[in-house]
Amino acid sequence: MSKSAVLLIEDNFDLADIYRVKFNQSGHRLYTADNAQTALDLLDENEIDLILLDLMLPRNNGLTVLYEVRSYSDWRRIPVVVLSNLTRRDAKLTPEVLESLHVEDYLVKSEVKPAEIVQTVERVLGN
Amino acid sequence: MSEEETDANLDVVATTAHELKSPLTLISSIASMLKGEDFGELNAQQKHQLQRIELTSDRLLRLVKNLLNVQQVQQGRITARVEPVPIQAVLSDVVTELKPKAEQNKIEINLTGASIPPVLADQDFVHIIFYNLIDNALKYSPQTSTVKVFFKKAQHNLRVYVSDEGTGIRPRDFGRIFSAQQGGGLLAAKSNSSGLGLYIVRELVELLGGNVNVDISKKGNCFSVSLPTTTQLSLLEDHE
Repeated sequence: MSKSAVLLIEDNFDLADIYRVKFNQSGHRLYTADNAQTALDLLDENEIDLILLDLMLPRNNGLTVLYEVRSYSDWRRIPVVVLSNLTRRDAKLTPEVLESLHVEDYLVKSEVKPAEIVQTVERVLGN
Repeated sequence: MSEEETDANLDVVATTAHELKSPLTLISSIASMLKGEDFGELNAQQKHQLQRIELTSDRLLRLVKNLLNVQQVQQGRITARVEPVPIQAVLSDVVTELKPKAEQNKIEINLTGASIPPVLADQDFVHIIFYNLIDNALKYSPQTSTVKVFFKKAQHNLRVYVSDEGTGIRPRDFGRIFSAQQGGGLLAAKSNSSGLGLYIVRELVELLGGNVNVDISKKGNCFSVSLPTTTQLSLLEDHE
């Protein structure tokens, strides 16, 4: 698996730090943003292959951030994996909504280890 | 206590439970990576202790999830999304998740069955129900024993059994094992700590139109859950 650039939109710095260690060890580069503007800036400055998206951010709903990203034609097709402590049921997200936003998978943070997150990203990018 | 006060209390519990998820996720993630030698080599004793940290934090996360489920059930906020569910596959996933915990106490989880029909249920509910039942069985199983999961097909229902070889539920506790209020204070709660898991099992099974039973003997407990199969859907369609 060649090195990929992943953008993690997550406001918990400690978790982001742990995930960065795991991604780096697996040969991938992990960029992190805790708000919409930083995420857009990073997308602008780098070739991002996949977005890992938390839904509960301090100033925005993660989906609002995703809608904003998708409004730019260059970033419309970047695959997204949701990584949230909200379950799909809690977030009230139907398969149709997720598909329309090109969300390739939905992980509940408290139920997956860092290694599994890397495996999911590799599987999605491998497809 | 008024209904509003009860709801307010439940909201406090839910908010607190949700707030606990992030720090617990961090503890579990770091322990997992340390155990996996992502930060350097470890000896067997260090790996073992980290495994204990990881399993304990995962257990706390499970408790948090149960608290949130109880809150949703008690406030009537949980509804089933009924569809055909490949129950054998779901159970296989549950067994895989609980294997590390079982192996810690040298307990075997034996899942048997072939050509098991899908059930008409909510897939998330099915996962929670059988996770809680098998987890409960592990809690009461002595070392080197076996927890058995097996099926019995009827015309329009499937009964799934989870049996253990533990000491058996005491007769005086039988009436409240599925209750959220265990009674008897904290000491009793510790010695009969089915906790909230079985309460959630009963509530979710009932929401699915099924039923849950328990048979107790000196050789152990056997919980069983009956759920409708998709043949029942065909029957309803034929009658329309």
